[in-house]
Amino acid sequence: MIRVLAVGAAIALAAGAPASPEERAAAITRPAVVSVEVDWHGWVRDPGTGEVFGGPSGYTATTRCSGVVVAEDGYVVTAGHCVDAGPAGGGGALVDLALAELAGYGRVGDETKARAQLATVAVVEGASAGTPVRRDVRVARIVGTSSPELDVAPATVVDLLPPGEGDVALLRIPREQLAAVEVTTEDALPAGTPVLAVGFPAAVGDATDPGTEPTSKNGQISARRAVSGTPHYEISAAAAPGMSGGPVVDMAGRVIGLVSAAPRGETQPFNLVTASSSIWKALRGHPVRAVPSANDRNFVAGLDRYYDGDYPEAVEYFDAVLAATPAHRQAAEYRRLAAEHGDGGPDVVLLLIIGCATLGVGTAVAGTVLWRRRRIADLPTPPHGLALGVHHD
Amino acid sequence: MVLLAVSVVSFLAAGALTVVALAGADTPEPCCAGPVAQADALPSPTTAPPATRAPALPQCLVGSWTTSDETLMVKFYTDVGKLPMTTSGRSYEVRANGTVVERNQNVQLVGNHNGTPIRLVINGTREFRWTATANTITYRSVTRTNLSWTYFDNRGELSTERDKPDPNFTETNSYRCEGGQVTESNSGGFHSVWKRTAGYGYYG
Repeated sequence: MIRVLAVGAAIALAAGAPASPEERAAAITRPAVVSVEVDWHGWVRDPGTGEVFGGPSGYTATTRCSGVVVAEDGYVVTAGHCVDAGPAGGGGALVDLALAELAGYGRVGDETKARAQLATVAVVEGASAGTPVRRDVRVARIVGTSSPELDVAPATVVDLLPPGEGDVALLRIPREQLAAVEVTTEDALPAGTPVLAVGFPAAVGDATDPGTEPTSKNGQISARRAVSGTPHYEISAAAAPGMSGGPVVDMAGRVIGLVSAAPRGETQPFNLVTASSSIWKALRGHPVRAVPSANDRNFVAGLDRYYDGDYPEAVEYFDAVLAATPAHRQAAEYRRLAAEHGDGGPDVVLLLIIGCATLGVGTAVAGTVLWRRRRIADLPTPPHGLALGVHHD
Repeated sequence: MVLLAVSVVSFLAAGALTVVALAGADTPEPCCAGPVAQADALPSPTTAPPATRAPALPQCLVGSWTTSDETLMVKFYTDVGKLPMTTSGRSYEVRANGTVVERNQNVQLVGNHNGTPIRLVINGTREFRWTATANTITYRSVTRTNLSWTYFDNRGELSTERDKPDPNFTETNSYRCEGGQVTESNSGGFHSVWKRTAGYGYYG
């Protein structure tokens, strides 16, 4: 009985403390979260007066969003407005610069009205009338196993659904074997579903600082909404500027949507999330294989084993991930943690086998000894007082 | 007998667990054709030379203005040189397309000559062209006008003159524009302060 209790205690010690669902979902998602930066260059023209703002060199603005890798061969999704030149995106940023300049000349009264006025009438354009503004999109992700490094890649906009049509953009970067996350095909998740919004808040610091980690904000789906006829979720998770385009995941780490917008004037955590069906709409027609790769599955399997307390096997999975993608920061981090936990730690199944085998051997030996004693006791005692079959050297 | 049974069951359990452990021992999936390329060998963002546009008229001057304090040098009497006269309330619409519209509605200019008060009343509108550098503003070519000047002194109304388009008109003054105010002057004694008003080129 004591032996059985000892084995049980060892089993309990071997299993690590169970992770919260949010922790696990964040761990799955974070390797695929990226920062999307866009440099905008252009001029603002008031067609009513013909006046062009921006002078000879024009305005340059940089906007920052978050995004998530959905296919290992370089496909990233983010919010459409992050790369759209419209009022909610780069155009709005350039109009803001024009307004700031005009305000310096005393040409702005009520700033809110002025912004609305210009957003309605102004044309944001390139070096000649009617040409598009220049847009340079970069995707930055944190890599490196020993010290964090920033890998910044130029991105092309493959597809764009502007805010009124779904608010999703599909980007491509010249990178391979990226960590990606799964996009769910369920597009009508019920209110109350716990979710996690992940991204790089602009206020936290410069996302170009490789030390910056993505932030996770938990909450739940408050309601399903239609915005301009496209499906959205209203969620209670907080999402700061800069987290636009970042993934919102369920507790299995699957992307249910992207952070889209926060209603103006709303002080409580309340954000709109474009639903995954809009992501699929943006992916449609493009050669995107948006399924987890073997490497992603190995990483998730490693996490599962890590959180189950099976550290040696977790190490094995993380090693496999690192063999394929040596710069996988999270795999390296969890491998280190698993190794710290798992070195010399007991294997649950092995302990059970040893316990059963020991019990079997013990009972077999005890049984044999008792049987032999009983047989000897049953033999007739010879005259010399020694039982037959017992030899003394 | 009991011990034998326990022993047999334990061995069977150990065996079964071993089989299960061996059968269920997952291994990572094989992945990827080869090692991933190093980041420094991959394309990085490049910056193209920035595009430019021809310089436009100074944004600070564009807009609607009303003079708040102005001294003009006026040829009031034919046999007397220009006399300084002060006024305010003339309005200008300085447009981004290079035109200026000047509006006067009973604008009174006052001054004196040898202690005698003199007065000039301006009415009407005229349009001319403008260009500017960072410090100077040049007016050219009166293209349209219906301005009239009416002269008064202690004797009453002296005369009324009507303006005419003048393609050769040109005048260059120095200026300073900041925070909704323009100060304009020249070496001939002209000085004017403009205040910006809501209207053309004003937002919000």
